[in-house]
Amino acid sequence: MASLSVVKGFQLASRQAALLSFQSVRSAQVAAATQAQERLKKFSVYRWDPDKPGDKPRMQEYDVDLNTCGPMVLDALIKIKNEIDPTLTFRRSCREGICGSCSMNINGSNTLACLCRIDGASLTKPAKIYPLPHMYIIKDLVPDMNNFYAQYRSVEPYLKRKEKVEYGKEQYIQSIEDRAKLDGLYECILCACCSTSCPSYWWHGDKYLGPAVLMQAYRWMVDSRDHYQTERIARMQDKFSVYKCHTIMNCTVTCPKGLNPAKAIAEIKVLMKSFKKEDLKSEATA
Amino acid sequence: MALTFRSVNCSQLLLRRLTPCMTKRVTATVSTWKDEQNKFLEKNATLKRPMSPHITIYSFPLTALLSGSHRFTGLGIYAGLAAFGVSVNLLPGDLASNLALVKSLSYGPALIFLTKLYVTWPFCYHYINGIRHMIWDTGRGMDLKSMYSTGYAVLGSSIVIALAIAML
Repeated sequence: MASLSVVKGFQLASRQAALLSFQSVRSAQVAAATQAQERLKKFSVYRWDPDKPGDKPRMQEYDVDLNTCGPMVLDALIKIKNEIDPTLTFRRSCREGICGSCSMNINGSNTLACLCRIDGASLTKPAKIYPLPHMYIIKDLVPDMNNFYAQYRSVEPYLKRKEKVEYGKEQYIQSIEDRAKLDGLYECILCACCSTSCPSYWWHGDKYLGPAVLMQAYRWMVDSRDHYQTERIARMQDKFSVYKCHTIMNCTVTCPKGLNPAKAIAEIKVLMKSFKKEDLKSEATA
Repeated sequence: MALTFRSVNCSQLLLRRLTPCMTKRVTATVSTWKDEQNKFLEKNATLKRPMSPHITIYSFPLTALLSGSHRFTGLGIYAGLAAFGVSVNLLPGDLASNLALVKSLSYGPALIFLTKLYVTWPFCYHYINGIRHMIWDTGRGMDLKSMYSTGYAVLGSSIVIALAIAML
């Protein structure tokens, strides 16, 4: 009997709690609708204008009402550009983490603004937004990516065959196991979050290829349909291209797509051990 | 006769019209990725674009901090051993007499303990983390979870072993 009354009491209490929480949610919604209560969050954004002569890079603060803003940092940036400051410049396109345009440094680590939630729990702490680190800045949050693209081009990221290719004649068949080797490599969207998180890439960005490009180089090295593995490995045979990786692992920690560039670079280093210059010569004469 | 003359003329005209775009295409393929990179460097230098902030704003994860400490402990050990080797050879008297001199100064046990720790921890850490790096060189243990678990293991075990040695 006593236990029954305890259960009843519990039920009553939980029902009251549910009612209370419902009421609080409802009141919050009403407040949001009437905008009686703003949830202002500070955003501190890196600014630099090339058209102002002698302009120095600076941080500009914006207050954004989170009640009328989407959940992601990109939503806040778009809201700032639409409603507060149309001169704020940044790259964006797909807003769903597949185009790789809105990569930037948010609160100290590189990520895609569209995949990064606004920290609504601590409104007093400003969200710090910088461009990708150690890059030449074109304007505000827009870095010059041309070195990154040139390096990507240097690893010839496309299928290469030794025989004459007749397009549309037949498929290049691949076993399930060989296809599985490309998983975790082909998904890279080249947002450059990993490369620009790497201190080695900061100091040797002209000669070291960086994690993103190296992972794509590896992606073509292990493709069973490609005929130029030896040449692709030979491309890495110098002090800088791959060996400037010191396993700092910033790349893998920061990748917004959850990929593992550090592992790909380690695999390249393992492949390099098997490389002999004679292989290249015999390939060339054959 | 007129017809053939006209057709030859036409084809020549056509050729002349096509030549510029053909030559343009050739120059486009000649540019290498190195050219592109040089253009990039030149352009950014002439436009005096600022470099975005890097080491001062990046919040480094555990893996990066451990990697940095590996390098600094390595440099410290090298410098320490070199200083030790040079001083042993240059100081008057042999090692045993100098050791006796240091012992006769009778420092407090706390200072001796801290000095020992100061010498042993970098050595323990660099040694154990070096093994971690050698395992990585074989391509193993490169997933995010192992990076962190081995990182904490190296940090913890190096502290425990260094304390144990310092307490001897």
